[in-house]
Formats: sequence, structure tokens, C-alpha cells
Amino acid sequence: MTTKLVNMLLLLLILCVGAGYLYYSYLISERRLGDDLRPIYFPVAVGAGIIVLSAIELLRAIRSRTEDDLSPFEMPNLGKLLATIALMAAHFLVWQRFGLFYPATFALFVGLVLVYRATFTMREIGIAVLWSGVFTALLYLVFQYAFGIALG
Amino acid sequence: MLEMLSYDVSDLFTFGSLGAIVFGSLAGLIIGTLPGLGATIAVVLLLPLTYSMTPLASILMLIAAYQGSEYGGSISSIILGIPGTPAAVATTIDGNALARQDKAGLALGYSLAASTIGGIIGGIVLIFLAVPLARLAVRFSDPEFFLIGVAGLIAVSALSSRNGVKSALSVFLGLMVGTVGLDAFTGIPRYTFGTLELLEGVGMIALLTGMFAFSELFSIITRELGKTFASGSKKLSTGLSLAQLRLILRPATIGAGIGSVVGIFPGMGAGPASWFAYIQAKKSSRTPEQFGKGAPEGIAAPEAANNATVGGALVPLLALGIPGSPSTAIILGAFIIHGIQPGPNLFTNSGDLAMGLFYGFLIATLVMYVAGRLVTNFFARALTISNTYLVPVVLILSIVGIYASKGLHFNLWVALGVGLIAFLMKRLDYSLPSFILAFILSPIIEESWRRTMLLSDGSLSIFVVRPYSATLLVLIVLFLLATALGLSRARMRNLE
Repeated sequence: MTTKLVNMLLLLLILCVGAGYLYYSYLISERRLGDDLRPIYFPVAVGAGIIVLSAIELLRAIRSRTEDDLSPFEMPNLGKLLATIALMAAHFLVWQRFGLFYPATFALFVGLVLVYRATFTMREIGIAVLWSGVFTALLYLVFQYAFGIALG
Repeated sequence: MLEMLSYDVSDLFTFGSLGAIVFGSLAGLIIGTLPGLGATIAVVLLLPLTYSMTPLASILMLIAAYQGSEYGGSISSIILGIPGTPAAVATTIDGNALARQDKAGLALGYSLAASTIGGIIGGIVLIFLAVPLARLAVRFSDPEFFLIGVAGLIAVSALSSRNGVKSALSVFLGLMVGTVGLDAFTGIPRYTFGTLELLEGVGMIALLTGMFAFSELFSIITRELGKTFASGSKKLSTGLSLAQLRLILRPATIGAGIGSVVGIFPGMGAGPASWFAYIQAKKSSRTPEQFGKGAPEGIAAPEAANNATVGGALVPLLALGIPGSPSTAIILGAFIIHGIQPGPNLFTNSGDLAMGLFYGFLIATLVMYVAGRLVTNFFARALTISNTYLVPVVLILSIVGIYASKGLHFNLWVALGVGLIAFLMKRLDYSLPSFILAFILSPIIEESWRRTMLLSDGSLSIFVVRPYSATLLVLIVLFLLATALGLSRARMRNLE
């Protein structure tokens, strides 16, 4: 996939968001028509601006033939990035559902280090567990104990 | 200025205030030192600690971290040749050249002394400009605040990205996100899709952390995850002799002057300021041929400039309630957490706090110098921390910061989504500072516009008949003309 294509896809998405935003503004105006302090004046101007600007940029992107635009859109370590996002999402879910912030954080730290290291020897796992334990304990001491911020 | 003299400075020398400054400086120094992490992340990471602190101590801690990280950025620039912050890029040229001559300690000494000079001059500019500007702003009404908001957006979109249309688009997207939540006039929920957590709008801390911390961490994962930087230096002494200090006094003062002024303008920040200062120092040097080979002026000017922007950037925040940079936007968040609204009335409603911040700013600069002298050697070793461990640490601290801001898990998901979108936007040359400033200014612009239209019965002539708004309008037009002229000149040069 080229940079140009990714650029165009994002611009299309922004164009759709702008259109959706305008449509939603229209729905709000339907409900409170005739109000002196109409809450949609500003959003309509903003929505129109988004549509106009993204359309201009989209046209420019379509016509563009620069080297940068035609180069492939590279994303090294994509697997590690996706794993990071998945681990973060899992951490949020466990924390949200069960309130287990510290155990979930301990597991997140170990998981991230192992994903980034990509080696799963006992030694690597041991080091990750050790650092994660130290870091989680520090978090507990600073936030829960010293500052009284309840995290779970 | 009389208020300055009557302020009881003993408030600043309590364990809480002084401890906060020292802690903020040290945290800023180490975070600024680490390549990829800058002032914004330093301030974001410290924000959760401010909830249980006094307003003065908490804001001083963030200001100290902001200052410290600007100097910290030069440590990796000089030792490794890798700028810790975008503002330290100019420092790399001569700083690293001097370090390669086995004079890394001397280069850091120049950087530290110049950063301190820059910080102090920035602080003086803050003190002398913020109060008069606030006094003037007390006379402003809605038309003026609307125009100031618009001027801020024009400045940030014109100056903060290579692609003007994408920068303007970033502004409009920020304005759009800023309209989410209850309408302040009618109480109608807008764009909340029935989500209770969005009634108060999108959480500012979640948005900032997602946009600057998460997106930066995602960039590190995709670019330089396996990297462990090696610091070749063994012992670094950052002390300077009087003759060496005299050598950098002039370029540091020039840099500080440039940085203070540039810092006031929204969206410009420390990066451009340090380049302007570097270029100016080279132009005015008696030995311009030494630039690029380890010239002390080439280190002093940009370093003084990037620290001076801190004081400059606080001027519009304290005097008008309008942040000019992502870091000051987070500091605005700390004000709001403590129920204080910065702006023209800060000096009358919370005069002691304002005076405490002025004096505290100068103390924070001096603490940065002392901390820099004592711990630069130690922090230079922090550069050897692998990103494999650094990313999880910063990620988890960011998560804690988001949750602690409102106690809502919902905001964690918002930050994750924002982080991913911001990561992509940054790759494609959109302007994140434009987005965030527009998000913060959105309610100010919308509400002042609607009140203006009510006042004038829908007539736009209100902007021309009021002297202050007419002046602001002229300034905006002049700025637009200057920008257009600059763009057309650049286009002509490109064609040639």
C-alpha cells in the first residue's frame, strides 16, 4: 500500500466524519428550531470547513505524483504494535470488569517486555517478572500509599 | 508591580512547594533526556500527582518539569547526537561536534548555563508582560475573545505544519471534537450519542495523553524499539569558568530574547525558536566559520531560546487563559483540576497564586541549574535504558494519569482510539498542536461568537466599531497578508 493510498483513505474517512457531523447537527436543529441561541451555528460552519478542506486535499492527493506519495507506507514492527494495542485493551477490560489494577498492570508489563524482546527463555521471563514486580510495587507505593489515589 | 513586592515568599519555601519544584525539575530532566520523550510527556506523566497537592505546588511542579525537560533534551543531543526533544535538534550540530572532541562535559556546561539564562529571561518576560496583558484583557469582551481565539488558530495552523491544508484541517477537526458535550447555552447534548461520559465533553487529559504520549510510544514501537543508546562518556563535569561563561553570555541573551517572544505565539514553541536563535547567533558571531564544529555560541543560543519559550508560553495562559502549546494546555488542566480559571481575573481572584507562580518560576529555573550540575552525569547514563523497558513504563504511567484525571475507565478507551488516530495523522503530516489548540479554543470561540451575535443583534459591525476588536482585526489581517506574502515568495523561490 502506498503512502498516497493511505493518505486518500484517511481523507475519505475525514470527509465521511464531516458529513456525519453535519447530518447530526441537522438532527439537533430539527429538535430546537427557532431558538435564538442555536447550538448548531458553529458546528455547521466547522462541518462545512472539514468537508471543503478534506475535498481540496483529496483532490490534491489524487493528482500528486511525488516520490514521497508513491513510496510504500511502511510500518515496521506492525505485529508488535498490534500486540501492544491488544494487551492494552485486555488490561483496560480486566481493570474495568474486575477492578484488578495492580495484577493487570503486572501482567501488562511482563507481556509488553516479552513481546518487545521476542525471546521466551526462562531468564528473559524471570527478568521481565522481576522488573514488573518492582515497577508495580513502586506504583502502589507512590499512588495508593503516598498520594492516596485509588486505582483498584 | 507593587503586588510583587507585597507577596509573602515564605509560601514558596515550604517543604511542599520546594519539594514539588525539585521533584518536577528532576523528572523533567530525566524524561527530557530520553530520546523521543519531551516536555509534553513529562508534564502529562506528572499530572496525576497534582490531585493531592496544593494548587501552587502542583502547577510549579509542572512548570519545573517543563523547564527541566527542555534542558534534558540537550543531554542526548550532545552525548549521542540524537535530540531528546524537537527543540534540541539545533543543539545537536555544535553540541555533538564538541562532545566528539572529548568535551561532552563542557558542551553540557554551555547548554546548562544557557538554559538557565534563557529560563530567567523568559521568567522576567513572563512577569513583565503577563500582568499588563491581563490588565488590558480585563477590558476585553466577547468580540475580542472571539478574535483572540481565531488569531490563535490562524497562527498555529500557519506555523505548525509543512502542509497548510492539512494543518487547517487539523484545526477544524479539533474544533469539531471541542463541540462534543452539553451545549453551554441551551443544555442540549451534542454529538454524545447517548454516552453519559461525554456530557462534559471529551476528557482533555485523555485526549492530550492519547495524542502525545500514546502516539509517540506507538511511533517508538514502529521505529526504534530494539534500540539501546550507548553513552560513551565516562565523567561529565558541567562547570564553566568565568571566561567560558562570558563567551556564551551574548548568544544566550540573544537566544533568550528570541525564545521569549516566539514562545508567546501559539503553535510555534521551542523547536522553531531554537532554530531562529541558532541562525541569529551564527549571523552575529565573529567566528561564524566555527559553527558546526563545536562553537559554544551554537550550543548556547538554541538552548537559551528553548528554555525562554517556557516563560513566553505561560504569558497567554496566565493573562488570557489561552494555552499556546500542548504543555501549557496540560498546565491549564492542572489549574482546572484545582477549580481555578487562568485568565485576566487570575490576578485579582487568586493574586497570591499568580505571584507565587512568578517567583516560583524563577526558583524552578535556579533549581534546574543546581539539579543539572548535580545529576547530569547520572542522567546521561539513563540513556542506556532499553526502549523495551522504557515503553511499558511510560505507557503504564500514562494510563494511570488518564484514569486519575476523572476516575473513568471510558477515558482509557478514548485515549487509545485518539492515540491510534494521532499516530496515523502524524505519519501523514497533520498537525497535532493545531488540533489540540483548536480543541481547547473551541468552546471559547463558539461561546464568545454566540454572545457577540446576541449583543450586536446579529450584526458583524460590532467587530469594527469597538476599538480593541478593530485593532485585533487589523492585526489578524496583517498577519494573514504577511503569511500569504511569505508563501508566495517561497513559491517563487521554488520555481526559480
